[in-house]
Amino acid sequence: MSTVLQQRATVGSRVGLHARPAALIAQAAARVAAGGAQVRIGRDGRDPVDARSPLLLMTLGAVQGDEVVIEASGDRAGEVLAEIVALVESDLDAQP
Amino acid sequence: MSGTATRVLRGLGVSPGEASGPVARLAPPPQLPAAGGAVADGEAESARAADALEAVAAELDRRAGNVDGAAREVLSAQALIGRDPVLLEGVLGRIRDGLDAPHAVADAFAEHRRALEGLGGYLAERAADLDDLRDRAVALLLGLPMPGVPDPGHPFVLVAQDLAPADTAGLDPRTVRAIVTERGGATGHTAILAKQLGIPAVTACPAAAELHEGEVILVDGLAGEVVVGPSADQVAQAEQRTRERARRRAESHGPGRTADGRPIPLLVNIGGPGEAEAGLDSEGVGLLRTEFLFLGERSEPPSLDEQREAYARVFAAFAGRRVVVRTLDVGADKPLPYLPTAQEPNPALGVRGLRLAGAYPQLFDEQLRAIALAAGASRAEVWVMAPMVATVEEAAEFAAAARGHGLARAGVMIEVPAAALSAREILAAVDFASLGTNDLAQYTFAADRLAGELAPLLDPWQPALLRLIGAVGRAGGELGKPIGVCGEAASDPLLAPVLVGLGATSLSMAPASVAEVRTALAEATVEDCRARAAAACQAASPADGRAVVARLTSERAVSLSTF
Repeated sequence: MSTVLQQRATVGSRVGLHARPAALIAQAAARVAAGGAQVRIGRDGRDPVDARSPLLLMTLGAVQGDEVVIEASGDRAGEVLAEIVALVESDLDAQP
Repeated sequence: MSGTATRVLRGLGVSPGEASGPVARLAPPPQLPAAGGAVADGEAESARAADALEAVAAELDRRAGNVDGAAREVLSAQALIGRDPVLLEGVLGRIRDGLDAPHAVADAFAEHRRALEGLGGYLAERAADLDDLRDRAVALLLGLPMPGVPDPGHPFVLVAQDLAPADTAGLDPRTVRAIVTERGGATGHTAILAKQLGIPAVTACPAAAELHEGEVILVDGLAGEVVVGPSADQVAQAEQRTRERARRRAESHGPGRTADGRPIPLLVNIGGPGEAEAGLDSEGVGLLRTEFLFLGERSEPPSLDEQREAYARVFAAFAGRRVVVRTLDVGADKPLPYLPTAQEPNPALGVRGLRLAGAYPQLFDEQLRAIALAAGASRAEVWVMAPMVATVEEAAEFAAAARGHGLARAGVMIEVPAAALSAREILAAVDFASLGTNDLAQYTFAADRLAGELAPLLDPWQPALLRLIGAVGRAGGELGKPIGVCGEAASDPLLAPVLVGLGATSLSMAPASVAEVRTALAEATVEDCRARAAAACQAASPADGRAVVARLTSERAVSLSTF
């Protein structure tokens, strides 16, 4: 049983965790899952959801400025957690 | 002659021009069979479902690769939803429970759709995006044609029951040679879009239901005729006429004026900076729709800078010419995620156009500010007007707000009968008016523009509509204020002189229509225009009006040619 690391993060994307931001976070979570790490994201009062799923991330209904709880477990859980926290906190809707 | 009989289908010609090509149908969303039979091989069924979802995602990625910017991001995000592992688990779980792949896919999507809908607001809007993914996957699994605009890899004639705005957003005039729809009317969405893109189109053609995929048809968007299996001669003659039409258009230049020299500026209707180029052979823009800035994949209104830059691009393209900007015209039928409005049973009669300014004054104020900033830095002659004005107070308030931002020319759209009946008082409060004949017809005849079977009531030749236009024209004449027409009526070369006879001082239309309207005006004096207007207003029906005006027009052409 691996430990679960947890960290709170504030959503940085202007549109919240929808559409493109949800897709990008899910993509990153799928990538780390292939390396043996699991990421879940929750919000106050809601069960954490599998971060590989853009559909479930959207149903968190998190808008910019909302606080979410990110959990990571498995291989390199610490690094994975930092990576996902950074993604959640950045403005992923900004055009490159 | 080949000897094979050709069939001719009839509909409404809504966008002039002739073109031929093989039929490609816009497939309707796939219908699920009532109940799936027992699944013999669950593993194979699971693989089929997974393959279908992956194929849908791969197709979206392929399409994303063909576009740029926001459209690309949207398609890529959609593709990732198609690859959502939780979605796939849901599908596979349902197959284990005994559902077949199509039903499992539809059911799994329905679960996620409900979850998003339950959140309301922006996410509820996005729930509809899931339907497109579901329809594509289900169509693949059932072996049905892919829903949406086809992409056969060669030019084609698009045939559909009807076209939704979402279907037409990405139509490419280079591959879509013509459009034929079973439903729709003269002023519907398809007509406006086709004219805008210069694609010949026939709507309200019920017999189009019988057209087969790949069958070659010849479409005449002026006469409203569709020839099924045209002969080589017929196609060659149509191509010859198209070349002549292109030549006439190429030779037709300069400002609009009547035969006796009264200037009637010919302007274009455009929906954003991207359409500016198509409208350069004109005296300016009579209707710049600004919805392009506010609709689409966005969760907040455009910033002041984004707006200013977009307006500035249009103004730069029309430096030295008039650009009439219409402020935001949305309502419950085009809901914006960041402007929540109440659910309305009749959005056309609800809080739309200028009426939204009551609830969102800041949004409208910022739009006027952005227009004023862009106007101040440009050499275009910028006019601004508000949609859906019904009363003198609304008109006066809008004009005061626009002038407060330093915009010198403030006007209103006249599309509500109440405004037409108060034209004199409204015009006293503003600098100009522009007749939106499509909505004016809808509200005058109590006939929904989206109800195909009511299309005859929305015919711009309806005498009652013309009389109402005439009342506005008279008020404009008495007060010396410009009266534009920016509805579909202005693009009809037979009707354009009638509108001038009713008092219109400028006409604004799809860029593709300018040359033909210019030619028609050049062959009629102001007196001719008045005579035709009187005849059209006294006609017993739209058909009668067309016939009598066509007769007056050809008589005039004869008398001109005998000089």
